[in-house]
Amino acid sequence: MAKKTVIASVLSFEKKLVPSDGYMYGTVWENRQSASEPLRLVEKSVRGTISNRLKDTVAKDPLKLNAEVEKPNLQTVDSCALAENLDTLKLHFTLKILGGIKHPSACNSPEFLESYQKAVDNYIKNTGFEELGRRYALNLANARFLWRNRVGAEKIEVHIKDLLSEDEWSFDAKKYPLRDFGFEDEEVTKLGRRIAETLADEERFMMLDIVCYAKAGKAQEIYPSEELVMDKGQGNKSKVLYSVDDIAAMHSQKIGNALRTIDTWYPDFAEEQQPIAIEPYGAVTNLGRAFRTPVDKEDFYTLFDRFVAGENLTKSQEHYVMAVLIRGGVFGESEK
Amino acid sequence: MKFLVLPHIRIQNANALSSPYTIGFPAITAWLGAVHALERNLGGKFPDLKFPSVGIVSHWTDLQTYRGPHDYIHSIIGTANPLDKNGERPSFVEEARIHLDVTLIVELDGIRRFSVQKRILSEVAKLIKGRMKIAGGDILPSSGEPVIEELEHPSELMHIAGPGYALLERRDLMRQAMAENADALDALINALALHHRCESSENKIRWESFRRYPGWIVPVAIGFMGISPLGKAVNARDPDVPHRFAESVITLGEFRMPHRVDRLEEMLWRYRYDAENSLYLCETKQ
Repeated sequence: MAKKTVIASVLSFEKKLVPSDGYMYGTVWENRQSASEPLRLVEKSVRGTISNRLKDTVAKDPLKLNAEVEKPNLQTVDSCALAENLDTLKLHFTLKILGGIKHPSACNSPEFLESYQKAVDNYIKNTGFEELGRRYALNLANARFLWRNRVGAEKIEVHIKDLLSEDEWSFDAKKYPLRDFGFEDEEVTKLGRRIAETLADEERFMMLDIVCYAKAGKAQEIYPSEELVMDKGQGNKSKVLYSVDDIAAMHSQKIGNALRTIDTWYPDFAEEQQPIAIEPYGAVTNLGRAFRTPVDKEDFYTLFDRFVAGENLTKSQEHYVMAVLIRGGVFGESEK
Repeated sequence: MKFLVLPHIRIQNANALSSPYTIGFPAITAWLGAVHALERNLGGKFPDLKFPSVGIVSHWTDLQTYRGPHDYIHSIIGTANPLDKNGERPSFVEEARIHLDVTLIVELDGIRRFSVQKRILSEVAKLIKGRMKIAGGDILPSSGEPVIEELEHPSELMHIAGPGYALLERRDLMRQAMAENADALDALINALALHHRCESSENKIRWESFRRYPGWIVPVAIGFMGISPLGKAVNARDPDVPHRFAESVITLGEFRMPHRVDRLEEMLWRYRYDAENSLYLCETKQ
């Protein structure tokens, strides 16, 4: 029997992988390293068709259907595309990696802190963060952070520079799998080890400068982040895209989500065969599903309590718990 | 005076709601708080080091709001939270965010020897670029390198940090308006509102728009006022420190180019605790 856990009522962790926004430029594949120009957002107004599923009464009556389909469906949207003479998207962002996982940014229970730190020490001693570091490195190498821009790109190249040590890596992203984290590669291992050392350290940090080139084809559409505007007011723009200083951009949160898409340890993995982002309930927004529910006792809170109490977790459960702490968040327990 | 200058700190997604009803720039307490955190982080290695006051110069801001064509108001661009344990979307919490490029000038006290300066600078750079956050936002690697400078006049800042706007306190405008018997909130709004007036002469009507005071006047949240007695609170960050309910204290401020500021003192913010009136303030010497 393990002893009862003490949980701090105030407990939070800062994220340890800190990406910047991703800025988007257009270039030509042959001269990709030498010249590029910022991508701008354009507003488009289009006359759409009515193509949504209609009620049976309308759909089955040809007259009503005609009347419905003849209505113009006017839309205004933001869009972003490469210029007609450019065929390559250049995405630039930086990534800060911090150590010091032993120190929560807020914690009001010294007793909890002590048992937590003991558990983390153990984890670091046994694994040295190697597995997590390698998985994060693989997600940099395979350019998962391009999201939809990755689909259909002919060639993808990722250049990573460590700004402090000046070491450099480059990857042919298409060679690296999106689903198989068992993939062995010397360069990924090297980068992964560097990330692992930083995560395991008390004080060290690391700054990576990442430039990614994706050959999408001349004048092809590019996909920056979409903005979440709850109240769009009078204008009827149905899609607002993100830009900073007039440069089309990708939210830092979206890049962060791609980097932490390393969870292959959730219960349904055998069925789904798809890594999901590290989230306390294994939530995947576009599927509208949480893959780690408290019912299965595989959610973060259940595992974290056991982890801190010093119970034996499986290797993959431990990796998952630590990855959530690296993701950061507020994990305190209310005293209800 | 000796200053630690942190030039061009690039911050992403900082908290732009400075008080319950002002938006647009992080509160003064956030800036002083960040410098206080820096001081405490350095305390282990340099126990005598003190940062008595801080100047804030803003170079560029990008508030995350959206205003469509013909709209009167801006709406906040939100962020979504991950789904809850049932796979459902949790309710949205509106949080205003801002990207910034600011220079902080921090008054230095307690370093006697020149040789210590280099060590301080490398520790500060490490903390700013590695460990710390400011106003809840992430500091980007493209931020400038800290320097220690002897400064006499605000205009010298232009050489170090380039053009920008220093945040000054304009409580005098509030005092002036309230001396004319204005209610505090009225005085605040009156100073910020755009007024329209028309004059007619010879069948011609001329419209004129103006603000009450010249310059870039903004509301600033400068601290808190306690509204309950000190006592114990459950689920507090530190259970050993007494807590109390408090509300924001807001007054007027002004963004002004440093070369138009007469004395450095005018742009240096410091803490003041007024026990008698339960005030926890940040203010400048006027």
